[in-house]
Amino acid sequence: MTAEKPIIEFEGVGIRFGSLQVHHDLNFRIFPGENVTLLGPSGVGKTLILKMIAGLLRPTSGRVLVRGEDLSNLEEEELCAVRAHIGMVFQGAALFDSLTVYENIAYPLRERGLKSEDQIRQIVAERLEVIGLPGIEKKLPSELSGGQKKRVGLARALASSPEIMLFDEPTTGLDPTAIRLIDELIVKLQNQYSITSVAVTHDIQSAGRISQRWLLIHAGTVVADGPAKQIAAQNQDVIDFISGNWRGEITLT
Amino acid sequence: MLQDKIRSLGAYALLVGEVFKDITTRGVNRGELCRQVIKIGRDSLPVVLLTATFTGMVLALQTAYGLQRFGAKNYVGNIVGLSLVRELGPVLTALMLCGRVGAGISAEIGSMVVTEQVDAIRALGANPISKLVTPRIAAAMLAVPALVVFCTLIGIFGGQLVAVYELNQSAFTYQRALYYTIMVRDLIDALIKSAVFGFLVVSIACYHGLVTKGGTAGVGRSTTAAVVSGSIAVFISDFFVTKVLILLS
Repeated sequence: MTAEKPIIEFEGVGIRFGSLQVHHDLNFRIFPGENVTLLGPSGVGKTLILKMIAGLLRPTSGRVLVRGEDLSNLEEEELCAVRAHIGMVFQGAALFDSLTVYENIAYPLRERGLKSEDQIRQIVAERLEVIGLPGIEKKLPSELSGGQKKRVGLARALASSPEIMLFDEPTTGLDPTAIRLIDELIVKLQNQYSITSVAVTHDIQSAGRISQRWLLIHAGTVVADGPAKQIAAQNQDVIDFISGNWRGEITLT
Repeated sequence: MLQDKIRSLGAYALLVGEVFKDITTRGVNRGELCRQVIKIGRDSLPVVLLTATFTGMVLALQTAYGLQRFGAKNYVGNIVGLSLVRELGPVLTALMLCGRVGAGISAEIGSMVVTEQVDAIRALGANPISKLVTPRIAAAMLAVPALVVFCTLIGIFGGQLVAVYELNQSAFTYQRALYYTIMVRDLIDALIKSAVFGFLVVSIACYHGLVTKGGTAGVGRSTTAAVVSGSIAVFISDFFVTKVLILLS
C-alpha cells in the first residue's frame, strides 16, 4: 500500500494564534493511496491540520510538505499550483451562494483556465453523475438540502481531478441514510480515482468505513497512529475515545 | 486596545497594498466591475437623490434665514451651490454609501468568511482579493463620482424649489448666482474627493468583512465596524483632502 515517498509530511509542526498554542509538535507521514482519518475531541485543531495541508494556513513552526514541497517557503501563486492537486470538501460545503451548481463545479476549472467551455460542461455533468445528482446544474445552493450541498461540494473538490482529497466533517449534521450515502460515495471515489484522502470526522462508524488508518490528535500532537482496526482494539487512548470515556484534557499552553 | 488599532491599521494598509498590486498585475475583471458599478452606483441612486433633494431644500431655507439678517437673501444660490458642490454633495453621498453599500459589502464578505467560502476561493485556485475586493474598490471609485454629480444637481434643484416658491426669488436670479460662483475647479475637486471617499468607504468595508471572526455575531460586529470606521474616515479625510486640493489650486 505504501510507496516510498510520502505525499503529505508533517515535521514538528506547531501553530499558534496570538497566545493560543493549538499544535506544538505534529509529526506524521501520509503515503499515496492512503485513506486517513484524524480523530480527536472538538476544538483540538483537526480542521487546522487540513487547512495547513491545503496551504490555507501556515504553521508557526516546523514544516508541512505536500508532494515533496515545503509549503512554508511558497508564495501565494506557488501555493495555487500545489492546491491544483488538492480537493477540499468544507464542513458546511462552502458553496458560493450566488453561483449555480454548474458554476460552482466549473469554478476551479475556469480559474485554472485549462479547459474549454465544452470540456467544462462535460466534466461538470460527469461529476454530477458520480455524486448521483445529475441534471441539477441550474439550481442554486439555497435550493439544495444539506446532504445535496455536501455532495455538490464533493463534486466541486473533485472537478480538477486532484490527487489528494481533504474531507472536513463530510457527514456532520446529516441523517443516517445521507451519512451512509456520502461514506459510500467517498469510498467509491477513493477506488475510482485512486486518491489519497485525509478526513476529519467525529462519526466513528464513518471513520471506519472511509479510512484504513487513524490518527488521534490530542494536546497539539499525535497520540495514536496506526491501522484503524488495530488501534481501535489495542490503543487505550483510542479505545477510550471511541467508547466516550475519553478523559484527556485539552491542555492549550 | 491601542495596539489592536495600530495592528488593524497595518493589516488594512497591507490589504490596500495587495489591491494595488492586484490591479497592476492582473487588472480588474470587467464583468464583475460592471456588476459592482450597478450595485454600488445605480442601486444607490434613489436614496442618494432623496437625501440630496431635502438637503438642498433645507440648506436654501437656512441660508436665506441667516442671510436676511444682513439683507443678503439674494446670495442663497451662491452659498447653496458652493456648499453642495464643494462639500455636501461628496460628503453626503459618501455617508449614505457607508450605510447602504459599506454595510452590505462587509456583511456579504463577512458571511463568506464564516461559511468558509473565502477559504474555498483560495482552495479552488483563485485569489479572494482579485475576486472580492479589487472589483468593488474600482467600481466605487467610478460610481461614487457619478453619484455625486447627480446628488449635487438634485440638491441644487431642491434649493431652487425653496428659493422660488418659499423665498420668492426668480429661478434666473438663483441660477445666475450659481453660474457666477461655481468654477470648473470646484467640480474637479468634488470629483477627486468623491473618488477618495468611494475608495475609503469600500476598502474599509472589504477589510472588516475579510477579518470577520466568530460566526453570525462576528458578521454583525464587522458590519457595524465598517459603517463606523467608514464614516469616521470620510470626515477625517474630508479635511485633509480639501486642504490639499485648496493648496494645489
